[in-house]
Amino acid sequence: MPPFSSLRSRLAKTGQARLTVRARELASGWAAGSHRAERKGSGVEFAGHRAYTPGDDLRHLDRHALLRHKQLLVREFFTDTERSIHLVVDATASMHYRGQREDAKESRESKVERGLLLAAALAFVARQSGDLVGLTWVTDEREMTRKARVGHEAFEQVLHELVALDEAQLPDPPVASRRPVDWSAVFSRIGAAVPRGGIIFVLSDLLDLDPDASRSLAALCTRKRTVRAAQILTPEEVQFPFDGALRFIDPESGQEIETDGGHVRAEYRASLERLTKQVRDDLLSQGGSLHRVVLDGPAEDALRALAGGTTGARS
Amino acid sequence: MSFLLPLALLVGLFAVFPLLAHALRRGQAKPLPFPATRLVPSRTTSARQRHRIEDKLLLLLRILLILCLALLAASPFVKCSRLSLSRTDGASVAAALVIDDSASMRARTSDGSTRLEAAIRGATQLLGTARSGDSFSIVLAGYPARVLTSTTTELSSVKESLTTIQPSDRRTDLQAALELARSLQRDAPQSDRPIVLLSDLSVADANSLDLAGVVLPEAGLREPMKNCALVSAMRSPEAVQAEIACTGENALAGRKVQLFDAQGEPVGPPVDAGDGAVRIPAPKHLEKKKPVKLAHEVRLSPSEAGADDIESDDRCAVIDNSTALTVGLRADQGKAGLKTGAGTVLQAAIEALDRGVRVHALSLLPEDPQELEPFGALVVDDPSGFVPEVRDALSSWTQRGGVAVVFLGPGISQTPLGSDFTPFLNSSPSWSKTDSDGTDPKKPGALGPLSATWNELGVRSRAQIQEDDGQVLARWDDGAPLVAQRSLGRGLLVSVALPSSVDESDLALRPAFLELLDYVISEAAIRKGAQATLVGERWSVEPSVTVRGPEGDIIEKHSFGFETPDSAPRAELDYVEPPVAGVYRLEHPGSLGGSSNVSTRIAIRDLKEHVSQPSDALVQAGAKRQASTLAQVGISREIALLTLILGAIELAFRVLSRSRRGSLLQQGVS
Repeated sequence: MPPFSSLRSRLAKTGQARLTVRARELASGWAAGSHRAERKGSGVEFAGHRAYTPGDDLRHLDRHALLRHKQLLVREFFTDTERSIHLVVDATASMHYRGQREDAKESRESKVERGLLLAAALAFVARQSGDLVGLTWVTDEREMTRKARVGHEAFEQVLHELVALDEAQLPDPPVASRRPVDWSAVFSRIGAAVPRGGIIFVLSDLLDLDPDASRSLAALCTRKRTVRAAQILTPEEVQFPFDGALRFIDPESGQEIETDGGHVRAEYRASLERLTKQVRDDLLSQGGSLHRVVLDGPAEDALRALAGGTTGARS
Repeated sequence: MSFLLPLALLVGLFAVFPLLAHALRRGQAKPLPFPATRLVPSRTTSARQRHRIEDKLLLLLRILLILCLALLAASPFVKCSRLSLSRTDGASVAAALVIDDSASMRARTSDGSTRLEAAIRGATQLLGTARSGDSFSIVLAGYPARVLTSTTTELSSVKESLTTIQPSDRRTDLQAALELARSLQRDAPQSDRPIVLLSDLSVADANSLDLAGVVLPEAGLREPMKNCALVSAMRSPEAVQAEIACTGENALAGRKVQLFDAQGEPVGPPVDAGDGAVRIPAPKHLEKKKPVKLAHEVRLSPSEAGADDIESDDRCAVIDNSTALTVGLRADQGKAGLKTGAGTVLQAAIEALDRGVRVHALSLLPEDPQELEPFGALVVDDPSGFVPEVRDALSSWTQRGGVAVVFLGPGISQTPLGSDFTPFLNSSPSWSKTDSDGTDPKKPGALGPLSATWNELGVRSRAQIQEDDGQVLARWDDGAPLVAQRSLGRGLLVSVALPSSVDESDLALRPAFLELLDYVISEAAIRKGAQATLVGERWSVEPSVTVRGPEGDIIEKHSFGFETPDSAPRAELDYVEPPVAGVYRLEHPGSLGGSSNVSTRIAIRDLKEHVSQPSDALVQAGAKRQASTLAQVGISREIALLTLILGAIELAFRVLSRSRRGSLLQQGVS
């Protein structure tokens, strides 16, 4: 069972109703939607003139320009189409971490729960906007990709997948799978599945991304696609408030490290920031973005940041 | 430190538990699942750090906390420098505080106060620890030992009486003071009856002291003394003989003695002081015209090295060597003379007593009472009766405190007409043969156990004394009186049935003879008093006489009730005990027959009292016995406070450690 309530009830509490997903890149969809498309079509907002080409719709021929310039010019209009939203949810063992605080441990939210909540909210937003919603979830054992589809049924199917993931909690502490996920391959498969102009939301802690995987993630930004990654971390992972002799165990690889918490705090923080900076820089270089989501912050803020994009430019 | 419940200290063994807990924590690093483990650097020193006990401060705090709890449970007491009454069973006590107010207690200690002030301070501290139901008595150990406060539970009056203790030049009388203290405690209902002796223990006969039940707090009283004292200054026409006693050469170095007149002006040049007798010559112009008077005094210059702990004994009134108790002796050299030299048996015996009395031989008994006035005692050997004028003089003198003893002998049979033996005897004695050879050794008389030594006197004749001639002090073995005494006025008349002559008997050759003479002189000293006595010796005075001390202050008189021979109360005798050395003025309301109505008496210092150091034996005994008087203060309250503080620190430490983690989580998290 989820820690404090089901994903649906938590989804109902998030303020996602007024949100729309925005992206810097223009949409490439065919069906009508809420995203400015790269194609010109039957919109109402004037986009400019171009020379007539045989086969063009004569309704768009600008007769005033013909009389004035003695040329056949066609008026073009911006058009709004749907956009493909693809959600990538990391549900590996590391995402089941809830932190080390002894007080009310059971009531604390895990990273994967926050990730699932954000994914569900984004799917809901996409459905509201008439966008296509696709989903890829990755656990230590398997990976599944559902191609983006439009409509209520598609949303329900995605939500069903998310709820199933939410209810399939790993034991706490999780047992090390000793089978690391090959994120480069995962991102390659996602790249093949997500169409041009789509927005890919990656909801993961990104802690086990190696440089190759980071570049693979950034490579998703090709084909006019937008990648928005959310690095979901617990406060303990950000601040590393540990003291004394400790033996850390990686829940995924089973790797054990003995260290002194107080002495390596600064070094750990630097390593985390280095990793984050590498991923962020890779994404930014390709037009993507990275948002850090810490669990003690409200989910609405993270959702707003993810949905709103970095520039706010309407596509 | 002592404990009320020593077994509770075993609780301290629980201190091992936090040690074990920390050691166990130390043995194994805490395992933590952590997703970002690969970002955590491994410390190469972490293995060594695992062998360190973590949170040493916390461990220390916890161990201290448990130790404090153990101490608290054991109810600890610590001894401090303050004096306190120890209670063997926690009940109330009947404490006797014996405070030495002798001259040696005038010595200044290193803190600037005198030993006496330190002793009073110690007594005050002891009284400060008194509880309801405790009773106290105070005995002063300067000679003569005396009760300052009888046993009472009124602490306020006891404290007030402490303030009345004045320094004196008395000698130490510890044994009598301790006996006095024991007698005061005898009827106390409390079972715990400590005697606290606050003294510098400067006594010569330390071994004779019975210290059973006596605690001897040090109280800063036993620092070695450095002192030079002017013990006495005797005048002669040409010079003054000063007797100086010093504790050592350093106390004497560079000091001089000088004669001063009544106005404080120096008379003659200073003379180098020495340990012993120092002769201070009087100036030529004083020898004839202005002889040295009693008003003069000798002063010892201050010690340049500061090696003089008693300043008050650096001056001494000049006295006449005729001021000692004088015993008038009427004895026939032919009858009672010494076979081996000049003088009489009686004179030799009196001098052998070494009581410091002067013996004045009389060729005739005076017929004028004034002529008897210089004598404190009168000894008459083998008289042939007293003529009426002598009888009147004797009666008058005796009634005013004179003590006379008559040794009856063959002279009785030659009593002329008109003479008899009154006031000694009411009846006329007879000299007759006897078969008795002395006293019955098994029946010592009131004179004391030594009267048994008069058992084989080798007598052929003896004087017959009637039973009604007075209280019989010693009897012949046939029951006839050998020594009898009767009182007359404030005086005492003693009759002995044998003469002092060794031709008549061995009476004068037995120890009881000296005992008898000592008794007579003692009685004389009490009644008549010597002109110059040691400080503290009693001077009997007329009830109407006012006694002024060396500083002009009125000396308080005391009354002493005599036990009379026939057990009937006798008129009380007034006396004073001069507390300090110097010249005392006795102001008589009327003329004593002379031209002046003021007479003088002199109290002189005891030599040993001013130079004797604390007895090593007693100091060592005191070191063992003082612990019981050091204040035992319960420190449970302080330890409880410490425990509370340690607990608070431990709690704060833990809260701080937890909040530090919390604050780290809060920092930078939006």
